[in-house]
Amino acid sequence: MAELTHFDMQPLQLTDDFRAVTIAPSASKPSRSLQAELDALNDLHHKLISSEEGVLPTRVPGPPASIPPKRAQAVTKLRDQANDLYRKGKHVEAQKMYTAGIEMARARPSWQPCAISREELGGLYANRAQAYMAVGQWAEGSVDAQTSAELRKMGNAKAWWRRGKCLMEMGRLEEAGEWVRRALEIEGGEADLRELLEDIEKRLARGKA
Amino acid sequence: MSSDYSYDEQGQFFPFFVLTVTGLVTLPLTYTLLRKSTDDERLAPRIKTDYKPQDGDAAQKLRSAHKRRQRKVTRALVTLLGWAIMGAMVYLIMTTARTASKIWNPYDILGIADSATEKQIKSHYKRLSLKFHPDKVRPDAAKNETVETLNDYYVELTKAYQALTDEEVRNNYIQYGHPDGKQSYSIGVALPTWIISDGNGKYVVLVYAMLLGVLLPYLVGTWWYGTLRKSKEGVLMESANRLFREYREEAQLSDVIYSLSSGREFETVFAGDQADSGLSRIESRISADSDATKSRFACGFSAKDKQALEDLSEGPRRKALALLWAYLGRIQLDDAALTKAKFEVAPTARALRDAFSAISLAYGNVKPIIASFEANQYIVQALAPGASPLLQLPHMDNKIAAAIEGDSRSHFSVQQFLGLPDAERRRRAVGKGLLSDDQYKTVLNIGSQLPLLHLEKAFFKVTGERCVLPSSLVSLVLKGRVVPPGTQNVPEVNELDLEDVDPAEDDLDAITGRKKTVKGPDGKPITVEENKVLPPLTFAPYYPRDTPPKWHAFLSDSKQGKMAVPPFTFTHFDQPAFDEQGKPTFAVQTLKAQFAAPPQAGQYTFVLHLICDSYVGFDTRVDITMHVEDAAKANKVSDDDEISEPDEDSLAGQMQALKGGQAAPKPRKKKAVDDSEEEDSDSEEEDDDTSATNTDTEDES
Repeated sequence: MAELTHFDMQPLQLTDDFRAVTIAPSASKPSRSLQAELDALNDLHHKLISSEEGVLPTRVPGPPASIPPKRAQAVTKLRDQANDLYRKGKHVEAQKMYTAGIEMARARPSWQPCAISREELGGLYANRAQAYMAVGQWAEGSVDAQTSAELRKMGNAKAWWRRGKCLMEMGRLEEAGEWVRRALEIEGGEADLRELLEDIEKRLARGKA
Repeated sequence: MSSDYSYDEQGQFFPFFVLTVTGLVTLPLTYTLLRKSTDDERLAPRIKTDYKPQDGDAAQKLRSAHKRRQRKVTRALVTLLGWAIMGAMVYLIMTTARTASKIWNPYDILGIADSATEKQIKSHYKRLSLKFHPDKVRPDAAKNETVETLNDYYVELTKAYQALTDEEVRNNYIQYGHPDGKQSYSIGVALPTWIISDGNGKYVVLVYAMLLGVLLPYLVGTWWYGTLRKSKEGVLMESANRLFREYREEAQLSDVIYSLSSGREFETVFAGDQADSGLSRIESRISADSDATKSRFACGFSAKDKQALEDLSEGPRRKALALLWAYLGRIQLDDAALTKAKFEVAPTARALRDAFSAISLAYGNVKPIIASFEANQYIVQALAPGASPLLQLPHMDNKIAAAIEGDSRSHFSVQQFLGLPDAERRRRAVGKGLLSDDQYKTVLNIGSQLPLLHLEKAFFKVTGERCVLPSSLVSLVLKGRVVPPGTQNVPEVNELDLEDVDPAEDDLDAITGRKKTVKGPDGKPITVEENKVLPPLTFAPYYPRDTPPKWHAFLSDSKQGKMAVPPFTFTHFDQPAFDEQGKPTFAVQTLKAQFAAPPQAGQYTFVLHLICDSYVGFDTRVDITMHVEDAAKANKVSDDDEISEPDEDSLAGQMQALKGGQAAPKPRKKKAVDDSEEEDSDSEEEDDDTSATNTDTEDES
């Protein structure tokens, strides 16, 4: 068992309306990690007392089987609207709508299974990346595509492809090559990825020559 | 209290006892002392160089201190002492006059020659008896003679005479060596009598009680609980617990370094006020701005790592982590005690890394496994994460490495730099503020001795089979050559060397692995002795221990990010990699690892990682596919050998029809066509079997 060698007294205090725990102003050293922990605690507390979503009358989160579908429906609606806007060519509005969907999905309470959020967010980030690419914002597109690929590694070939394309368009050819090779390891069968890799290598060869 | 045993009253047998007991201890000790050490560290060759890093004195001193500690000085002293005692006892034995019975020689007693005749014996005896008869002789005090001794002497004379003349006595003498016949057994105890004399007995019992009841349990207890406290890797169990809690699925190199600081061993080293002294100095030095890269600090850690360090509360862990970063960043601390502590942190961190590696292997996620191997490399070479691998070469520092790399986005590896043409290398590396000519030569010299294993071929093989069967014992065969970085004129690989030859069926030595089979010059398999060639010890001037390099090979499943086959470790080669002049031999080395194939047939894609655990940037990653064939397909025998269904027209065919079996197939009408199509698919042949009564004399091959 770990030995308890000493006891640390943290300088904490409650706010007047008992809504949050903060660090007392008399604290000598501002501690980043302590503040981060308190933020997480306050956030959770806020979610528990304010949202009715999946919370029993006793302010305790309900069982995981009964997830209220409202949030999922809202996210789906936002996504569909954004897809429509994208197809109509209104890329900037599509980006905004995707962002709204992302915020909605991210605000899902943490006691609900995270797999749902991951799926939703994976799709939303990938689509937002596409929207950025359509207006030539390669950097933002690559970040979003990377987020999507990290959320869902398998079965998400388009996210991998999109980041590869963004990096290539930005001129970061070596990184693009690395990324697409990693993608091929995971999604070996995608012909698009192979084509992309060939493109990148062609450009690299041209660059060296 | 006395027993029937005769104790050693004169103290003449005591030396034998001491001699035996000391011999029992000294002789094995001498053997272990003088026997040649089979430690890899002692047998392996070293990279020949005179290079000494600027601040590497402390590391060098610690290295020699560690070797001294290992040199068995106490054992040698104890052995010498043992031999001295044995020598003294032997001396005592030789010089103590023994009252043990000598061989009874009647001729000597009578004082005559061996060759005396009977008559001479008789007359001689008569004369002696006249002289020495007890009634006649008076005891002479000057010669210590008493009546008893005189009587005894006369009896001896008589016995001697009778032994030579009297039948009965002579028989006794011949049989038993003594005229009185069978002598009784006497058991003597080679210990002095004072042990059992009055009063002393209880002290003896007390001594035994102390030995058995107190000393022995104490020794066994300290040994047992000492081993319980440590895990298999030589790390305290508590440290292993902490490392287990620090394990993260997505651990990177910096995370591994952070976790290593949680070891309990550091708390014992930095106990009490030692934990705080010098911490501010270390932290200010490591957090200074780096002279090479903007995004990292002097010791090579990023802002995130700095935050992680500062979030730790002050104590041994913080100091250990700070020292570890200082060691990795090769920071000068300008304080003898701190510098010594800095170098001492590295071997402890390495031991903890072994424990972390065991934990990550149990979990099976590839990222932490690779991170832990990288941690080993970076700790041995004293490189920070994100630093250039060129710093492994002598005389290099961050500025020179940055100058060499120029505009390149990523760092050069050692083999990349040394693989450049010489003019290009010189242009980049030699100059003002960079390397001097001599230093450049040292770099080339050491570079040409580094054991870089270049993978030529990797394949799967099952001994004795053409293909891999499900659940068979597969060997992963790696064929590589040691090509030091910067070698020009690398010869082509001999294709024959890349094959893995199965041993002959009756070759027991090769099958059990004692010898190996290669293709001889005529293409036939021959067995040769396995020799064990050790690679040179790692060139790590900043690491305070001698380490031999090892290679680890494992297969990972990239789709799931998990390890498919656990790592196999290779510590030695089977061919010498360098000849006597130090030139590389380019001999093909074979590394084999065995594991069980998956139970289902199919195609399995893996990524093979071949990692050297002491050099940064010497690793190889290749995609490799294993085709597992169906057992049935592989065992297909030619159908001409099969027993065919009986022909319909024959008796057997009608019997079969009666039994309700299948209608026997008609004999082949397309026989002529079949003969020409010998490579026909098996299914077609199955239907058209030759009949059982086929009287053709064609070859059934």
